[in-house]
Amino acid sequence: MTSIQEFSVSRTTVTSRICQSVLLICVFWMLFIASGDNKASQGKIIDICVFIVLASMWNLLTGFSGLISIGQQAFVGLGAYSLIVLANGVGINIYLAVIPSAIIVAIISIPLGLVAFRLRGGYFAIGTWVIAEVVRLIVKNNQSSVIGAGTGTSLEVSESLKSGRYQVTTFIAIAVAVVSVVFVYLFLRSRFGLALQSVRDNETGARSLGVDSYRVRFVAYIVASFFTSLAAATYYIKGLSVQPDAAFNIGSWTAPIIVMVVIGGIGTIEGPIIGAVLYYLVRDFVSKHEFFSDPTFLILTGVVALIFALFVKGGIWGLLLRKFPKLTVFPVKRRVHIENFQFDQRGN
Amino acid sequence: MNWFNAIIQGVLVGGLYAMYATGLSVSFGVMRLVNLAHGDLAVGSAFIASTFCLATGLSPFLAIFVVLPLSALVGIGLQVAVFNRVVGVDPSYQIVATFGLSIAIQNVLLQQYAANPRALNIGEFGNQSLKLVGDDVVIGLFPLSRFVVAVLVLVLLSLFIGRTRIGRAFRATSDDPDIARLMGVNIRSIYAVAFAIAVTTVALAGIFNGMQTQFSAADGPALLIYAFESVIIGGLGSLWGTLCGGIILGISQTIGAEIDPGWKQLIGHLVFLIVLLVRPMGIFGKDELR
Repeated sequence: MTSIQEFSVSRTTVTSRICQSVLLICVFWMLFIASGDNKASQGKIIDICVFIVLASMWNLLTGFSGLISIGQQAFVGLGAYSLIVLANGVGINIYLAVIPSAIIVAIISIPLGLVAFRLRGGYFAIGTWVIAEVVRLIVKNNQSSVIGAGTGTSLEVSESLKSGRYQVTTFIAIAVAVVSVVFVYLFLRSRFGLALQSVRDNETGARSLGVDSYRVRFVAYIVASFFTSLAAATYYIKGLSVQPDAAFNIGSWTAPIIVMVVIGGIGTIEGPIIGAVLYYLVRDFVSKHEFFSDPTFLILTGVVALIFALFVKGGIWGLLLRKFPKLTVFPVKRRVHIENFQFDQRGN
Repeated sequence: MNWFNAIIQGVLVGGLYAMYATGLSVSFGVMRLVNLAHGDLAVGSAFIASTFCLATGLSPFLAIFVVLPLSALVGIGLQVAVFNRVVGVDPSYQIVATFGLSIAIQNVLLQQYAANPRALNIGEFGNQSLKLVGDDVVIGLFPLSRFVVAVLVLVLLSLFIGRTRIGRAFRATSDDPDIARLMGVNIRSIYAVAFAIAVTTVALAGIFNGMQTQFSAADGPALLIYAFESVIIGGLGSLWGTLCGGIILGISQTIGAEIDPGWKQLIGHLVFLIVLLVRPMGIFGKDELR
């Protein structure tokens, strides 16, 4: 190629602007429901928002950093129990305790990460699970009255906060979901995000270009534990009661999270959101039908995860992209425009 | 408290853990595959053995001869249908696929057999024991023979891998599948044999476990974790290390249970984490984890 005289680099496209506007309308619609007093719809919005955050964070680890975690329940449980300790133990207002509990969990995640990062690949995955089990057993064997050992405990809500708890929680849940998704988006567009994805794609190559692979991954791990526990704390303001076996349960947290991300599309920002919404709607639908007992639904969930992992690796978002290649909501890739030619980052 | 007895019991349980771990070690060693459904395959085999015994009225020891060939076939089937598609690709798809399989198996078992625990009744043999040191140390005859069988399985397996032609192909595939293929090794059949061995050993372990304690549909994940911890404590790629890892885990658990029944699993996990921090390559591991 001869010298390039005029070129420009862009990320945002017309489609991405349109899609983002549609998403923004959805957020406003959810805010509208949050300000009403339909508790059933508000509860659904809280659950969907919480799972969007959990799925996005698992995807940040697995899809963008190459860290496969099956121990996300550790941060869900820790988030719940930090909230309990701050609200019931210290006496902080439950709403104000959400962010501090996530900060506490982010700090706890540092020593946990130091242990987990001793392992690689699939063994890292089981290692994160063992760590979650250790945390569960420690909480379960803790006899203090604030923690409540194996039987668990309930979040105490002061009289003044009782009215409007669903409304406030819905607002918090929407805020947490929006902030998480926007954070992941900006994070991945930053220098740091580029380093993270380069480590995922080729660790040796990335390191030879001066990327500190251990550090980038560790930061992603801490970010994911922060937001995971933030979502968990939000969830428990709605649910109130916390038991160690439920809060640290792999089947009720990490299993659905993984299925959501795989169905939606691993390694994209849009995938986990689609997966979380779809999974929630399907679960909500089948819970009304007797044919789908809990085991039947879980068997189907497992089989669907298996099928997507084997045959539909890009998930639903990947299928959509194949049909509409220009589709994008959160553009992370850069596009280079040279006169009449167009390249994207991968050279297509 | 009887520490010496706790250690003896821990060693005997450790043999069982090593048998659980063997398959995990083989499938990781040969095809770099981490199978999260490993524990569920053990529980599934125990349920099939139990169904066989109930239907025919025969001893669980005879069920072994029916279930093991069956599990070898299941292993080959799973390898062909599922695992061949995830060997060598991005490990995240491996984890998701085997995790999905694990959830599916667990819930099929739950649906078929409900949540009630079951046991395999081996009659009088289960109660016989040897008494040592003036009745202070009681060694069950069944746990002892189970330990002997576990060691025997490991001896046979290491002879198989170390001395036979297929074993050599195993090692070649483990070192570099592409070069092995160039040298005329049929990689897919090697993978199928490896996975058949993995499922057969874990099925035997599952049946042995069911002969002594009750088991239920949700037990798989805990068994997977014990197997995994044994492999890592002992060091990847060393079958004797795995036996040693299983024994260390077993002893840690029985000593933990001796201190406080709630600490059985916790002490086991903590010992595992300490080994991971102090010696991440495991006790017998040769190089850093890859």
